[in-house]
Amino acid sequence: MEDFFSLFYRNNLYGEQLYYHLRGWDDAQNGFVAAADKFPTIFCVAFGTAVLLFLAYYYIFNHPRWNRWYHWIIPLLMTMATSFILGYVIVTTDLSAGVIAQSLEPYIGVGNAIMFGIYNAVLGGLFFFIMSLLLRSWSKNCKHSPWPLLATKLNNKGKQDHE
Amino acid sequence: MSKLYVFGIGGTGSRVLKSLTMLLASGVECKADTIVPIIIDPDDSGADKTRTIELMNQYMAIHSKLEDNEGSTNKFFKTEIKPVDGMTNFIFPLKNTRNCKFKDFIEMSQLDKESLALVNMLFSEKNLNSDMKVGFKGNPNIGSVVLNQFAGSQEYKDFANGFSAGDRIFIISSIFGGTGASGFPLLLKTIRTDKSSQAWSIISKARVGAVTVLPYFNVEEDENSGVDSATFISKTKSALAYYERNISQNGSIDALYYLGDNVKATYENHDGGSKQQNKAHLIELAAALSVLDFAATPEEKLAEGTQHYEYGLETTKDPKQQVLFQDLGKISRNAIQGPLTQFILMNKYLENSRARQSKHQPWAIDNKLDKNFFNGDFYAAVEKVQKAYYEWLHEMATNERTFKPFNEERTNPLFDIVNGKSASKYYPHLFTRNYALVDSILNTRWPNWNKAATREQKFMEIFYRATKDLVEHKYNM
Repeated sequence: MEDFFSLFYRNNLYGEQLYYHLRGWDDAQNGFVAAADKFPTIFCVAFGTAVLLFLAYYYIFNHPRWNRWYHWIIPLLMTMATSFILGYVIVTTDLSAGVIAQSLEPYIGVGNAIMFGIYNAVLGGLFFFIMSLLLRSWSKNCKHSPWPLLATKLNNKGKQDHE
Repeated sequence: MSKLYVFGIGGTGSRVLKSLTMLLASGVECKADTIVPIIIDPDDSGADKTRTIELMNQYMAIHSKLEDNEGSTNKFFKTEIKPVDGMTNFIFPLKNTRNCKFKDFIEMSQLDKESLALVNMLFSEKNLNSDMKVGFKGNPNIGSVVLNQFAGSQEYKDFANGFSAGDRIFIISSIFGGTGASGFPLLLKTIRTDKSSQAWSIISKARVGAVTVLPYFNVEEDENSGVDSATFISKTKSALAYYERNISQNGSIDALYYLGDNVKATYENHDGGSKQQNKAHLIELAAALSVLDFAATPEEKLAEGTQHYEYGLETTKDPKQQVLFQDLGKISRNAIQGPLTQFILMNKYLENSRARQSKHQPWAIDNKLDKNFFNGDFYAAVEKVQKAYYEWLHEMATNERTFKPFNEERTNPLFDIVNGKSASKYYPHLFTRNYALVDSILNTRWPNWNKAATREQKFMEIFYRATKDLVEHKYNM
């Protein structure tokens, strides 16, 4: 299960050493400690934020005056901002608390924290985007935000051809 | 019942037909499937007549696009309005009234001495020199001669040929003018006695109702005009006495509605023509309701003998105060307040919000109500009827007696539009109000939705269902 969460973060965009740290690397055990793995928390918060904002926008607030593409951008940016802050704060807190393994510490800095924040923001945004693609057709007022549903486009095109 | 033939005689006839068309457009229930209006008015250019004809033509254009929609609940424009086959613009044409003085119409120059003496006794010099192109200018003695051409005319035969067993006839006229006062008894006599058509036996036994409108306005004094409101009451008395002897007592009519008002507006004095454009009036609305009441009257009741009706308001208000929905009697209030409110909500939304919203709202996108639709003929007709509806309400609201059920000029907040009735909260919709609430209801996933319906049908169906939902929840109507 731990592998599942880390799967989303296994890349070299924000530094291999930071990946090791967040996965729970322990010099003493020369391996990963499951209890120190931060990816489940980071993933759940990023994904949960995306889900919450998706539900809020499409099904709770669901407002007919908030169904333009530029309105859709707002929950997307909120999801991304939350994910960015989460990623950045976790790394910088560990940096200032000195809890990073000695073998990794020299290679991890604020630049890595920013890059990880950005990566987490993109990931959160991607979750929101995918849900918007797949799960918005039941929304009464916002189902065509940010653009009309493909099914509706095809249906209307069919009618046009028929006419 | 299948068809109701409605004869609108004179200016009042046209104005009542206009009110009737507004009621039908807004979805007030009519027990007849089809209304067949026939306008009898020698005033070719009369503004009231022209406005009514244009409105009915737009209504027909809209109705024709809404037929055959399976599972439809829509009542806007539901009742069919159609002219008699062969009749143009609903007009029963009167011959030899254009650019013709009355003395020429009766060929006075060719009369013998005795007939001439009789004519001079019955008609004043002013009557004889009266130009009839704008009507009979309040002279029923002229009308009773000219309108004798009903019987045997091709147009009357056209009407008779379309008449079927079970159809009914209704006649709208005023009693204090010229055309209506003389046309009503003549037309009734023709209906009951004319045998020139194949359907005469059906027509002569058909159920016939009528509304006769007593004075409800005055005109400004004008020495050059043939119309003088000082004569309205005396003319009314004479005509009522005549009706009593020749209509009510002989059972030639099945239902007779009397309407009038002692609160009277004073209109500009025009003999007729394009300047005669009287504001819509509550009395005309009540007269239109009498048409619907007659259509709904069961056969058994009419079989009991002539039914006589009057109309009253249920209010103790000063007559100068505005009449609201709650001042109407229960039956008429329940019949019209919901539909008229639905229609004005539609009017306000289309006028103030539609253009900005339709590109983005699911109700429009899902049903392909796009730029082409809103630039098309159907929507243009809807806009024209809506504009006329607003004018109709506004005219009644600025007339005397004032009927002002709506703050029709108000655009915001939308739901404060019904006078004397505050809008309730619509609880499931916590974040939406005003025009946004209309959009939210329009966007509802409606049950039993006919996906195969045309765009026009879907457009009307959505607006009918949404406004009905709003009226029920916001105003408990």
